[in-house]
Amino acid sequence: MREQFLPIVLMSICGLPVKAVASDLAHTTDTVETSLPDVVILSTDSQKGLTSSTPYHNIDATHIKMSGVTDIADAMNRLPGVNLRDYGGAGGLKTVSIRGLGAGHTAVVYDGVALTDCQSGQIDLSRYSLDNVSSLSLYSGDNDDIFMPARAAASASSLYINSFTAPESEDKLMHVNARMRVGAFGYYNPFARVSKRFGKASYSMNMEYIHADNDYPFKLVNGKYVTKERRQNSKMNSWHGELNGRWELGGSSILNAKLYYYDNDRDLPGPVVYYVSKTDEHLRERNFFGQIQYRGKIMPNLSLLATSKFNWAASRYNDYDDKYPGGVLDNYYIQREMYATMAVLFTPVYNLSLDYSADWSWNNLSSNLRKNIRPYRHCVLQSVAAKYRIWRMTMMGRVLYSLYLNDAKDGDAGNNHSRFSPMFSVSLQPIESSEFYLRGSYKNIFRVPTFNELYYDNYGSVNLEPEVTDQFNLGFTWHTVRLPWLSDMNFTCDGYVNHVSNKIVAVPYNLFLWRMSNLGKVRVFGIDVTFETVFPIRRGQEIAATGTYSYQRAQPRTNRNSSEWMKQVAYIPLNSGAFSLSWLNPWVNVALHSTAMSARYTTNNNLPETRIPGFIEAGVSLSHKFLFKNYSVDVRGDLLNMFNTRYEIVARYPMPGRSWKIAVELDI
Amino acid sequence: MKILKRKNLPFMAAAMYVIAFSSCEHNDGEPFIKINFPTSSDVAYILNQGSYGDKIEGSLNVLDYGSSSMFENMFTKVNERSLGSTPQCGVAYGTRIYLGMYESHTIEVIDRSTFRSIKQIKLEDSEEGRSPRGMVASGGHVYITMNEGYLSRLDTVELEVDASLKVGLNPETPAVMGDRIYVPVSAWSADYGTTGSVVTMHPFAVEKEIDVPLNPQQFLTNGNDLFVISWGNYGDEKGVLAKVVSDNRYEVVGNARMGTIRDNTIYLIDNPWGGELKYWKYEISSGERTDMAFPEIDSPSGIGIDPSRDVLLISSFPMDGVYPSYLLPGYVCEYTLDGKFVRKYAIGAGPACIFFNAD
Repeated sequence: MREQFLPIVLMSICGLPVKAVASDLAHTTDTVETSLPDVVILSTDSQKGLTSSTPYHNIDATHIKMSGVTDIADAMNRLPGVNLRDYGGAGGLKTVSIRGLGAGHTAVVYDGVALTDCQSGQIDLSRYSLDNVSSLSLYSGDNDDIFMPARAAASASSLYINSFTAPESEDKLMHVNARMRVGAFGYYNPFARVSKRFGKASYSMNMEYIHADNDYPFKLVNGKYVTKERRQNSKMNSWHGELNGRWELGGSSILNAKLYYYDNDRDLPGPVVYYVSKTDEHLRERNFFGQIQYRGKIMPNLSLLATSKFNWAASRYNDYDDKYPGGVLDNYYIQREMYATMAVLFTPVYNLSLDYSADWSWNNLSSNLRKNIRPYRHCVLQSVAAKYRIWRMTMMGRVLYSLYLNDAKDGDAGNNHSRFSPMFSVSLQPIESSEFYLRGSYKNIFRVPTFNELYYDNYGSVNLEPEVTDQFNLGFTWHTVRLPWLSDMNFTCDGYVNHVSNKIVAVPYNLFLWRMSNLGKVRVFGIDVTFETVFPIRRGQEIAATGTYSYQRAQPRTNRNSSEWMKQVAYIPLNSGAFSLSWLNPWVNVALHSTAMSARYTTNNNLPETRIPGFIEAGVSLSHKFLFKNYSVDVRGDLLNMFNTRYEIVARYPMPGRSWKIAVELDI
Repeated sequence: MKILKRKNLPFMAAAMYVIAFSSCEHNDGEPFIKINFPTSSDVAYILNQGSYGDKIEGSLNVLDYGSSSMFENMFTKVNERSLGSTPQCGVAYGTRIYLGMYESHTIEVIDRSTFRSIKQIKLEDSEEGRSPRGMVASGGHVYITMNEGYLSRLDTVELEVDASLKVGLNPETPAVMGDRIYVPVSAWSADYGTTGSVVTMHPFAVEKEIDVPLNPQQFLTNGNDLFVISWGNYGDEKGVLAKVVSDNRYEVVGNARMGTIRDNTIYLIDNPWGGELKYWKYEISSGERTDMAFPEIDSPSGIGIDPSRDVLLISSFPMDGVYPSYLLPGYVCEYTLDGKFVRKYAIGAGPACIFFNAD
């Protein structure tokens, strides 16, 4: 039976003529020997995904390698409920929204500190290298861990990106990880990381460079004419470097410090426009931040987390066109942020934890625009949280108090805002002998208007109020090892309802003048399903499968008389999912993977002509790790979009067709 | 239920996966519908801009007075390809129609009776203007303002741009009076301009600049008098109609944002930002202003008066709830010159430019 099962899965999911794997599946345990490079276990993070009272999904570095994840956008597509905006090509803008709430409602937490962009409210994920990621974690709703900065709780969802900041081994040798990746369309990407431990201190330094021409071909359909085109003006040069220090101060106290710099100089291809192929738009983005974080016990039942950060970000947009004075539009923006946070965790008894967190931050924005009013904002956040475990039940509650004080040096400022935001969650294991958990949660939160929404010339409105969300989640998780043909499986299923009120939307006064207003209401119903499982085949061989499926029914509910009423919110697919199947063996690991999305619309009206067709895209990854005495060499080849599926995620921005990448990685 | 056996599960899973995302069809080669043509040559033209980024194409629509019918999307139906991104302006001149596409940087020359494309003039590589904004025809030439700051002359025999003049940043809708072309220089990319450029046809040269109110958008003339509509700064400085009295002097007549002229009368729409929508007409010789009412219009987007019939057309965006929609299909209403409603015609999204058979 099982001999039939695996090849059928391979063929049916990925459409490949995969050879039957004649295997003896009698070995159900102890199948992993030392020669198997990627040991597949359902990790502690998987365990957290089961027991968390709020939906939590994690992809770690092992999973990234095992399942053929190619970049951070691909990784995001493998998480449930994620809607990725991808404009195509390496270095293209990539933002995520979770469960239909919009990118501004998702916090991106990088090595423990939430990133901010006070101008647009969106974080571009394309600037974070997957090569240096140790794990990606997604919390839909609140974080199950109460000991964290208040800012991490101040968004509807949060994505945690954790990087390798210290040597992975305990020895005092210098470790070098060097990687060269080349790919289609002029892509090359060297990366190097050096790390070393000195007694109780250690450091890690990494640097990465990416060049991509991004001149990939695409098919342009114009009525009865179909032409082969290439993306133009899409080149990018990007590099980033990080220096991390870590000191173990005794007890369990740790001090972490990080310096980060990112520089990306890219051409912007713009949307595909009929009869035109040239654009001359450019964007340079630079970002520097430094942060220091202390985490440790100051008394047996009292822990402290303290962080401070300075962030500087600049972007310069140039459009070379004679329609502008001097033949160029030159917009230059600088953001600055100072941030400090402190959290204390008190554990009076073993099953009760209490947390108090307080944050302060200051953001400002300046530009060379004609109307540069130099806005700034102080933000004070305070959170009180409790986590209580009784019987086989865990309860968690939090109240967040937020105070936003807006001002501007040279103009009218937006309104100040203050609010209490409650959340509550519970997880229950009904049967002691079964790893089956029920969970439910509620979270109320809001996002303040961005500086663009408040101040942008002829567009912003200083009277905007925050956009408020209410999130309800009910789900279950299940872990089983009892099936005879399956060694291990995790399964999660969550249903949710999200309400958005005071949604900030652009309202037209006329075709030429739009203003931001608090008008919209949206309701989102959804289901997220995930599974991860391992099928042992024989000694040293396993098949690992992971999958996600999301259903999102996001309905505008602003005005019954509007054509948008109860239609599907623009760019949110009703169905989306991802699947990966990995054959891990001592010879060449094979990972087949696929992501899919049903049709979407470019507008909330869901007009037929605004429909973007759905797609199924698949890829394959082959890798092998050569082990030597003092070092290892990992060789990996990826065939992306192997069926050359033509699709768009954002209208008029074609995604690349079939392409390849080869990477050679040296670990010393 | 043998089909539910475990060995069939992979097939079922794969089938469900495909079915769930089965909408991944390719949309090329969509069939085009049978084409109906206007039955008379007595027509008006309405150019829709669409919303390109939202995948809503612009279109050329033809109102046939003879059959009281609107023939939608004629260019695409006949030529089986897109008109291009953001159709901006057009004139019907001689046996041809000339259309300018702002973002596609093209001029389509099409046959007036068959709507078949005679030539697509690509401007992408032109160093003297690529983005058409306004058109006017006279003396065997079509004159096109280009957003890059040029007035280009199109030879209607050779169908080539044979000359271009630098007239100032972001010129808009020009007008011909005598042997001169008056070009409003909006300079929106440089905090708005306050001049118009005067161009002589013979020789084709910039003669001088004249003063106009802030952010000029359109010159209007009946052959004797010259007026300009300026939009102000979208703030405290309102859109106005002004009469050009001399090179350095103009007289503001009243608030307006759109207008059309025939003989002694200018019909005007004042649609201020966030203010009350008003219609009025101005008798040039007497200076008399009369308020008008045009029922059925929600959010006017264009106005045109037929040079040979007593017909006034006003295009409009539809309301979607309490706000005008620039995505939903709009409409055009036909009126008598005293404002009496005659008929309403459905039309595509973003109606923006109304023009008529010029000769």
